[in-house]
Formats: sequence, C-alpha cells, structure tokens
Amino acid sequence: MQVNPGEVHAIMGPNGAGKSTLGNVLAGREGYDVESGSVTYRGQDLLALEPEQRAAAGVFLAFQYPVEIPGVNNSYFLRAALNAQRKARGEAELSAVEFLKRVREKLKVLHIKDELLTRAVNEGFSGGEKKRNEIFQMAVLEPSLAVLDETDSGLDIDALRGVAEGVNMLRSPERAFVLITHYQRMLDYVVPDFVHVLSDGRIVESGDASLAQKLEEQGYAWVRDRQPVAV
Amino acid sequence: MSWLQAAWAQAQTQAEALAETLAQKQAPTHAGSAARNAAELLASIRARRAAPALDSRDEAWRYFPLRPLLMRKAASAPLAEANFAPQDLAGELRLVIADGRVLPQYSNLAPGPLELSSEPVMPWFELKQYQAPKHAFTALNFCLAEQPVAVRVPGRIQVDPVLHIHWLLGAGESHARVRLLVDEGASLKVIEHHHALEHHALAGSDGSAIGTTLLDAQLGKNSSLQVLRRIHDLPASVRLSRSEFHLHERARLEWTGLERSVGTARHELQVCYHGPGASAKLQNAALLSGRGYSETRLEHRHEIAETQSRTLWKILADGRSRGVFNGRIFIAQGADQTDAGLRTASMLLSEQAEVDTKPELEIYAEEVKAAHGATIGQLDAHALFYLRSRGLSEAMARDLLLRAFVLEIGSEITDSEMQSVLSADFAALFPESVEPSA
Repeated sequence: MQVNPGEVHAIMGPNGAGKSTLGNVLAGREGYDVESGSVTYRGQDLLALEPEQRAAAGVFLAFQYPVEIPGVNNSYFLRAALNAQRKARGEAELSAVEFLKRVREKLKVLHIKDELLTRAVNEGFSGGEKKRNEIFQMAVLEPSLAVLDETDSGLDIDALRGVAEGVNMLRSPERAFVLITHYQRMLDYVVPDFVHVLSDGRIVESGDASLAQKLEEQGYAWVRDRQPVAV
Repeated sequence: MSWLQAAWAQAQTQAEALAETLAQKQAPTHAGSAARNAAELLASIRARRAAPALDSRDEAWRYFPLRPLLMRKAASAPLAEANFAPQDLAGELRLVIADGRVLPQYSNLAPGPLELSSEPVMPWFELKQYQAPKHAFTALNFCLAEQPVAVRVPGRIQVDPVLHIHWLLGAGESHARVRLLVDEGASLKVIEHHHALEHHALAGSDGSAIGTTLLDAQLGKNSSLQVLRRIHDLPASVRLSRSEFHLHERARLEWTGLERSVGTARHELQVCYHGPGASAKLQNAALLSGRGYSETRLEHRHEIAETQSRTLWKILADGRSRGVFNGRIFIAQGADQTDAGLRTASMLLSEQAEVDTKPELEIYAEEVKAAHGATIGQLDAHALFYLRSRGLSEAMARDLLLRAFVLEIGSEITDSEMQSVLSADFAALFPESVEPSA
C-alpha cells in the first residue's frame, strides 16, 4: 500500500480485521511485534523510530479512545508537544504568544470554543468532544501523515459531521490521511481517494470511493474469503 | 553495645534526673495529671533495664528495616563533619536546629511576635502513651533531646511571615524537639525543612546519621496552623519522627507533606480533636527512590463530637524503594457528627518498588461519617503512549503524568511563600514536566 502526499486512504474491514493494530503499529505503540513487512515513511524505516520520533517526523495518530489526563491543561500540553517536535526537527520553539496566535487561528477554522484550551486534556469530555480535540491537536501539530483510528465511532450525526468538516479543512496537497473506519458514514463526508478492505490482517480488496458504497450495501462477507491483493 | 542499648542507658540516666526535678517541683494544678504521666513514663524507662525489644512481629514494626537500626554501633564521638552552609537556609523568620541543637546565630525569631523558650519538662499532653515499644523513639527523644524549645504565638496574633523550622540532620545521633503553642484566636504558618546534610565521614564510621525529631503543636480555640513539611534525605540517613497536633474548639490545621527520600524514615503523625468544630486537612506526596524507605503511621483521634478530618496521601515508589502508609481514623464514643475522610493512592514505578497501605477505621460513636479508600496502580502505559505519540519524550511524558498524579497535593495552601516553595520542589522533582495548569 502506498500513500502519497495529498491522498486520503480509507481502511475498512470487519471487527478483528486488524485496523486498529495497523494504526497502533504506525504510531509505535508498545506491545506489537512486526514479524514481517516494512513501513517506509519518506525514505525512513518508520518502525525503527520511537513514537515521539515518528511524531516529530510528521506522523499523527488520532486515537480511538483518547486518554484523559486530569490536571494537565490542554494548551500547555499542546505547546509542550509542539515545541518538543520542533526541537527534534531543529526548529525554533514557539513562544507562548506565538503559540496562542497559532492555536486561536486553528480554533477559528475548526469552529471550536476557546474554553477547550483551559480544560484539562480530555477530562470530563464527551465522546464527541474528545474526538474533536484529536482533530484540534492534529490541526495544531500539522502532521504530514494523519492516521485516524475510528474517529467516527461513538459519534452522533452532528458530531460526526463536525469531525469530518475538520478533516476536510485540514486536507492539503502536502498532507496524507489514512482513515480507519467501520462504516461508510464517515466517507460520505470525507470522500477518500482510495478504499482498502482489511481482513485478517491483510488488504483483500482495493478500489476508489465506490468500494465503500459497495461494502455498505453488501456487507463484509463477500470480501472475507478473498486472497490478499497487492496494491 | 548497640546504639539503641547505649541510647537507652543514657535515657535512663536522664530519666533519673528528670524524675528528681519533677519530685522537687510543685506541680501546677492543671499539670497534675501530666506530671503523673511523666512520672509513669520515667518510671517505666528506669525500670526497663535494656532497650525495648523492637520486634518485626509487632505490627508497629512489621515493615520497618529494624535490623540495621538494632545492629548499629554506639558512637562515642561525632561520626562526621557536616557541610553546613547557612546561606542555604530559607526564611526570614526561622528556627535552625542542627543535630539536636538550636543554632541561635542562624535562627531569627525577632521580626515576629513569637516567643521562644526552652521547653519545660511538663507540658506533654499524654506522656503515658509513649510507654509502648511502638513509641520507643519518642520516649528516647523525650529523655535525650538536649535543647527542646517551644514557640508560642500569643492569643489573637496572626503571624504573617512564615516560620521556617530547619531540622538539619548532620552526622551521628541527635534528638530534637519543638513545641508550637498557638493560643486562642492566633494563627501561624510553618514550613518544616527536614534535610540530611552532606558530610564527610570521619575515620572509623560509616558516616550515617540518625535523628529523632518531635513536633508537637497545641492549637487553642479558634486558632489556625498551616504546615508544609518538606523532607529531603540522603541514603544513609535514618529519621524517626513524630508530629502531633492537638486541636481545641474550632481550631484548624492544614498540613501538607512533601517527601523526597532515598533514606530511611518513619513518621508518626497524630491529630487529636479535643474541641467541637476542630478540623484538619492533611495532604501528602511521598516520592521514593533508590532504596528509600518511608513509613507513616497516621492517626486521627476524634475524641469529641462535631470534628472533621480530611486526608489525601499519595506515594510514588521507584527503584527498590518501599512506602508504608497506615492511616487510622479513631472515633471515640460520643464523638457524634464526626466527619472523617481518608484516601490514599499510590503508584509503583518499578518492578522492585513496594507500597503497603492500610486504612483503618475504629469507631465507637453512632452518628458519624467516615470514609476511606486505597488504590495502588502503575503508570498508565496507554496514557504514556498517547503523550509520546504527540511528540513528548518518554521522560517528559512520564514526568507530566506523575506531576498530574500529585497535582492535588498542596491545593489547600493559600500562602504565596508556601506555594512557591512547593512549586519549586515539584519543578525540581519533575523537571521534564510542562507547567500543569494555568
């Protein structure tokens, strides 16, 4: 599977297909051994990097279950994260003023209220708020590859639309997306360039956005027994 | 002869002298029972030929590393020379006690209306209670403290500057004791700095220091006391301390502890409620590493109706350290409308670290609210990954989560000087953490 800058790839598949595993492996979560295969990101062996090195290199994972961190203010946390990434890339760190300016721009674009900044990271957030916070973090950190792990799960229609709008705002020729999702719903709003069907850890079918439609109509049964395909 | 045996023999000699003093003195009427108690304690010390048998089968000594303490050799001379740098001592208003002696040249009680006096023999609230082996070191301290001192805040005086009490543990053995008397309607803020000093061991010794410290505070009606107790010990130091607070009608105690320890420490902490409306809030963070050992035996004694206590105790144990917390709420018969809450949460940061916590309730009253809870966990791997995936290094992510874990500690402190001391301590403890909340 090759993802080029500016492309949006959707990864679909039934429960247990390995969708979240893929997201976690890409971001470097501990507890996964990659026994075969490789991931090359901008010419680098991604799997050899620590999670924070991947982040600094431009990889972002929007979590399926964002973590609550009581007592840690959202904006302080984000500034620390952004500056850690900038430092790792040899860029100058942003001052509090510069950071705030950037953050306010993003809030405006995403139609998110300022109060998000002063709240503790995800503490007491509703499911929708947590996912929106992931999108907000993504906007501030400006990754070149964003992996969204079931960002649509657990959202009502309005929240889903809000999150999808956020993703659309952040689409750009320099940024690629991998959307991991169960349902076609999300793809009504964020139209992917490619759709891949994952089954038992392998891509068994690839196509354009119409593949998602077909899955919605026919379910996963028809792809389940397919052999892996090279894409 | 072991250190303890030698110390005990010395305590007996002291006890003889004290008993003689007591016998000669006409006991003031209100101190009559205290005198009897003192006499009983002294008698028990005199009667006991050898040091009390401290035994790990005794619940009170179950976890404590007794062996090195009991094997410790008696010293006839100072074991080491401490590096004592008085310019490091914080505070305008201060009392400096090094190795059991008050250092007047570094102490300064002048700016305030505080009264400093050498403590009379009598005023221990209930001396009798120190007879049990579990209070062996309190009894020792009682007999061996060379220069016990008392600081009094006269009635209705609000002392604005913070009183800094420096308990410096240099080398060898020492016993120090301070009483705080906060009279009716008065208020006082105290920062206790417990520091083990770097020192050069002299020939023939291991240079380790052992000290007993006692702080006892009497809070009069409508008085208030805020205490920040900071501990920074060294690997070889052994600190056996006791703090006790006696709260009279509507007295308020706010106590915060921050312990950073790699040494051995045991702390008996007791709050006694003698008057209705008395209340205390206790918060503590212990950050243990290396082979640090820290034990706290806390007891709230609600002796009378309508008193309130709140306790939040947190332990972070790393390396091969061990934290022990025994938190007891005692509610006497008739102490109705007591409202007591005790919560302890600990985090184990390494495979070898250990935390033993035990909340206890002992209730003889009918209508009370008493709640307790204990949790022990580990650093959340999911949270750690979340933060790292945003670009924070592992050290930053870890410090940030640990800082957040102890964030509530000190939240009750309103004094700006105490707040800044605590913030500086947390910043030093979690150097990689971002400023938590604004």
